[in-house]
Amino acid sequence: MKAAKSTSAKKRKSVRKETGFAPDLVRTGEGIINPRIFTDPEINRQEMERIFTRSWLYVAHESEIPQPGDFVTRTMGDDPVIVWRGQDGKVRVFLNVCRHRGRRVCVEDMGKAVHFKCPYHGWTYGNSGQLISVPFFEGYQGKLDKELLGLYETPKIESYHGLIFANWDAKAEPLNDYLGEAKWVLDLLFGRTQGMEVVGPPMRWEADANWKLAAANFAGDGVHLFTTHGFRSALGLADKLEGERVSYRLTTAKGHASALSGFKGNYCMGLPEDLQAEMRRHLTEEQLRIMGPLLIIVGNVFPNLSFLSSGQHTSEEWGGGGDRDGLVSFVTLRQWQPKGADKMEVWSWCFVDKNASDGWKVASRESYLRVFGMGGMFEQDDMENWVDVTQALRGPIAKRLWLQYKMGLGRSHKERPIPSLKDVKDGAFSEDSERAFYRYWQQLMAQRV
Amino acid sequence: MGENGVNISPKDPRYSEIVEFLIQEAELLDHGRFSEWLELMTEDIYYRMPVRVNRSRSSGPDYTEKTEIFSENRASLGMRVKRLGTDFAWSESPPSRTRHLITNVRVRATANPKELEALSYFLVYRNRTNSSSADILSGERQDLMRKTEEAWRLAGRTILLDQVVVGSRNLSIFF
Repeated sequence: MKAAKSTSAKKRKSVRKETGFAPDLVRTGEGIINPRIFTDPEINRQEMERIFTRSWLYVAHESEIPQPGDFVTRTMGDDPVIVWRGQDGKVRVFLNVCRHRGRRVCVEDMGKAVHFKCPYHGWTYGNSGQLISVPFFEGYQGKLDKELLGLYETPKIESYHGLIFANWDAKAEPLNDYLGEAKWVLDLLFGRTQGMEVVGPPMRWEADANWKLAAANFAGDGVHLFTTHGFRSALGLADKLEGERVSYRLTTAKGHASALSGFKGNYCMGLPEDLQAEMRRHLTEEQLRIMGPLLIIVGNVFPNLSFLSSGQHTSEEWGGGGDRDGLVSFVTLRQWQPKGADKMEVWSWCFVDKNASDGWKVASRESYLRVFGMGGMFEQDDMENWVDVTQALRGPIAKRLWLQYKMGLGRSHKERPIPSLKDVKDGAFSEDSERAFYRYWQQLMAQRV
Repeated sequence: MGENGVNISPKDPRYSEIVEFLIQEAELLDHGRFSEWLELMTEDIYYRMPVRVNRSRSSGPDYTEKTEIFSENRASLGMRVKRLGTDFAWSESPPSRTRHLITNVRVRATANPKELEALSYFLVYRNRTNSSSADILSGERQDLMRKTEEAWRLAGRTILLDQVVVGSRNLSIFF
């Protein structure tokens, strides 16, 4: 026992020496994490390299760029990219940096283009990335090879239910394997009908908070609901849905995590009958059985893509109604873009089922912006937490303490509550999702690129 | 926004009534008198904030109504105000300190003789907690004002902020 301990201490020491990252800042086995990982600029610099240049990162939804030439500009970690559908219909992701002198070749958020001409010296690229023309090309006297200087493209791009992910790592495993059992949960939102469509461009805003606090919160922190969002109870809004709680928690080895919850009964996220009929054609019997009681589907695809669908009563007092029993739900994706250790930019999108009625689309979109997004009554208070935590942990004394992630450690669970999934447990309240997130984070941080 | 219509003269008494309204309204907002603020609205009010986007001039407007930060009616504004009255509205507890500076007011007639369009610029200063730095949010509002039996009421408001990436942790304040 003693020998094993000293071997692992030795190992930690050597990781630290080789990579400059102290792996024991994260101790998921004990359920404790050191505050330094949220505030240290050096750790942030390392995670930009070690996490963001070799993870599958979400870049766009196919419904944002349906036609040849359509593009949106996004960021992958600190790097600006263009997600661009070529004339051949294929989507590619390019670094939005001119190969000549580094200016962004595309300065719009979205649009349609057959080529981009760099506003600096006029190098022009076609929408499969090729360098088409260079002003005064003859001046290079054959020393410039246009073939080699197309826009720099991510070696990997794959999609799942229209969610496009890209990866800078040519050796990355296929997206399918990376997502693993998280796909089963994504099916409940993005694969339940003929398809989802994005409602519009994202809301974007900045907060002085570390990105991981948001990602890990969405990974499955069900406990904060009762305090952070306590206004629900104070206004009597929480009492409308009650009963025997039904909950499942997914935690994967790749750091993805999700929590599904609801109450015994047939709520099915408040989806109207026409969408439920469509759903019965797209989901498996097992998925349909699990969907029945659900009112909340929340989670995080590692590293920084969170998803949420939440059903609530939008009675008169909320200022709008769904068309089914006063219950309406929305689907949002949000990305936490790090901008240094103590700042992030939030991108928040709303999605609706493509085939939904106009009435449902309006109600769903409104229920989203009432509670999430910049002005959302839930999200406002989430932001306040994460900004406050990031600021409060700056001091040397705060960094000597350890933050607690012990809930659910060693708890025993029912064997496979969802038989087809090995990574799912039952139970609503646990910090296992955060532990899964930070365990994989630590694993990547302890390996140099 | 509001490119049509002719400005009524500042000497027209309706102009000063509208300016007076906007200044009174700012006072209510900056002093946390939100229930009184709600009283200034008609029952059928809309209150919207489209997002801004970076697009070239030839590609169309630099905002989009497809995504809105607010798309409110009287009931939902009422809910937001009620929320602020609980002890759990952490984003405003303790409250932000705000100043709504309202300028460049232009008032225009509409097809309805009981309604006027009021355009204004705003500079909203928001300070929170112990930080000496503040969020400074500028933009414009396009208001629909309606003369009721009692007084002028706000019947509609569209707000355009001047940021694509909004420099504030949340928008738990009103505009």
